[in-house]
Amino acid sequence: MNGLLRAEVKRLVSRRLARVVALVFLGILLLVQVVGAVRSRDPNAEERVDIAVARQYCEDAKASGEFEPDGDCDQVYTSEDPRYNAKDLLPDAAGSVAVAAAIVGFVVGASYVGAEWAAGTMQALLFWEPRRWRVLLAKGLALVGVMVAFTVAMEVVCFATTLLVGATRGSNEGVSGVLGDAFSTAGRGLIVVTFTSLLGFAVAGLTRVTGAALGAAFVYFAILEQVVAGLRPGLFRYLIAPNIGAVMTGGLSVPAGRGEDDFGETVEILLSVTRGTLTLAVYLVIVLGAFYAVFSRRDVT
Amino acid sequence: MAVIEVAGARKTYTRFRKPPQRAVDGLDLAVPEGGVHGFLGPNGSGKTTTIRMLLGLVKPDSGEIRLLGRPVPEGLPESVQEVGALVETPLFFPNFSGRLNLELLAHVAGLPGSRVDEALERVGLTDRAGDRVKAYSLGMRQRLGIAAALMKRPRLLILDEPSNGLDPAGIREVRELIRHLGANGVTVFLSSHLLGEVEQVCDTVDILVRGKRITSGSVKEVLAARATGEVRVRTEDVALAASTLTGAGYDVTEAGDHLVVANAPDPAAIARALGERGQWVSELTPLTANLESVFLELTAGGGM
Repeated sequence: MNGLLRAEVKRLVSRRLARVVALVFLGILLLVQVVGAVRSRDPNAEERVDIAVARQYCEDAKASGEFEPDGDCDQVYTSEDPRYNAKDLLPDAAGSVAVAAAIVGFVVGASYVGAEWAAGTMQALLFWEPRRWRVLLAKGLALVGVMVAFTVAMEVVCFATTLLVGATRGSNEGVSGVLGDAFSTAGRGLIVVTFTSLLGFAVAGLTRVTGAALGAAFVYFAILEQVVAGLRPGLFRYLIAPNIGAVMTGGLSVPAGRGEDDFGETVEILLSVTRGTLTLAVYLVIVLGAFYAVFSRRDVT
Repeated sequence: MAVIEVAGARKTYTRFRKPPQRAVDGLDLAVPEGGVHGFLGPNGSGKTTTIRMLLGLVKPDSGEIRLLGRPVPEGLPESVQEVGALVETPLFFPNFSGRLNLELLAHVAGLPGSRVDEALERVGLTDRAGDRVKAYSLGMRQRLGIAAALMKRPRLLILDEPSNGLDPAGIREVRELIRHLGANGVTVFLSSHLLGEVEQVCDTVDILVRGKRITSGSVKEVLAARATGEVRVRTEDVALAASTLTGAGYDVTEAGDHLVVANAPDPAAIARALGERGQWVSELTPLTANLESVFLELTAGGGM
């Protein structure tokens, strides 16, 4: 099994698509940071006034007990503040990297197995390892391992460059207060990356064509989910996208499908991270199970 | 011991909105260990399906298959360690180099990296090993496929049309390689359309038609069973010789500048009959069957 796993990891990282996607991903990430660094500057007089007003508002609210600010009012920034502020950017940046990696995971997962069917190399591999469950397991593990490693690497680059730009061109003030949130977002992102990678892998395994898997994903996310959400809001919580949203955001309120409450508001329920993860896991078991059932019986011709 | 045993194997492909296609129909096969074994049949006769069943790629509807004494598919993980295979067109990742393709397969089987170099050298691809496979000619891909099959140093080598795409020199090299392997303890199971090649390198042969084996045995036995008993006779005056031999009771057919005499178990008697009348023979050749004529006779209507 070690040899098979080693071969699959080597094959996956040797693929041109994987290398190009990794480089493009890294390039975009660095470009965004460079743009942020270039655009960062100290506030002018007018902006400084706006910031002071915002801080004063914060202090007043705190004193009156109107609301409890997240942190120190000294660290309140407004949209007028043109400085690169690591504290405000880091959690969202971590989430964005994870979401982008999840999309990449689906594409790489689908093309990984789709290309294998297209080139006929699945047949060649089965001459060498006829136990199909081992082939499937090794491929799945290799894919998840590589995608998780890739996502972690990109998150590290994201964290490092955000803090670097904050330190050199903007501000890292108060960033320690959001590090936990950012790490948590990145960690939950790994769950989503694992899910989408295996989903793409399994769907392409069933269709045997990368394009068909991508098309199926488009039809599902862009059409089917929207139709279901419109016609049967009560089923919305069982769909894939809201559960991914729940995992990524740390919990998501969605329509419960029970109409409106006494105040005319749509009744909602909270999709927790645990519930979202379990729902995604159920989807994965079904699709991977179908892939295995077909793969283990299919004649390879 | 038979390295390949097939008993009553059947396989019918069912396809959506198409009539079922019976590829293998009660096939029995026993390939003894050692030597080179030919596997012949017209297109669609079930050769490749049989090979795929041997390798566990296609599941038979019924029948029993054993490879190196172990049942397929249960014993395949052990058997396959000693089996090298090349089925139809070799399949590799086109954007990977030939070397990387072989390295990946070597990893799967836990083979040392030296086997890759050894196999590449054996098929003459060392200089092009770093090139992408998509830049290879069909012949080079075929060589790479043979290299992959040889990497395991197999006990049984299954080759399906190994000469596809090779130039005459390449075909000769493959033929010599097969002979060498067969003479050195490797059992080679060779499916080929090149009947001359099969006749030259194979010790035994099976011929398949519509999924059934119609003849089997050593090449000599198969040819002997269909010996024509005809003799080609060439003289200065063909018409006169025909008249003489017909008068002597022979069944003679004129064929342009020569005669074909049927039912002539003793060619010397023909020479004697003509010589006694002053007609001198310039050629007297017993017409033996070759594998091609036997194959075409046996598979008449099957098409190639």
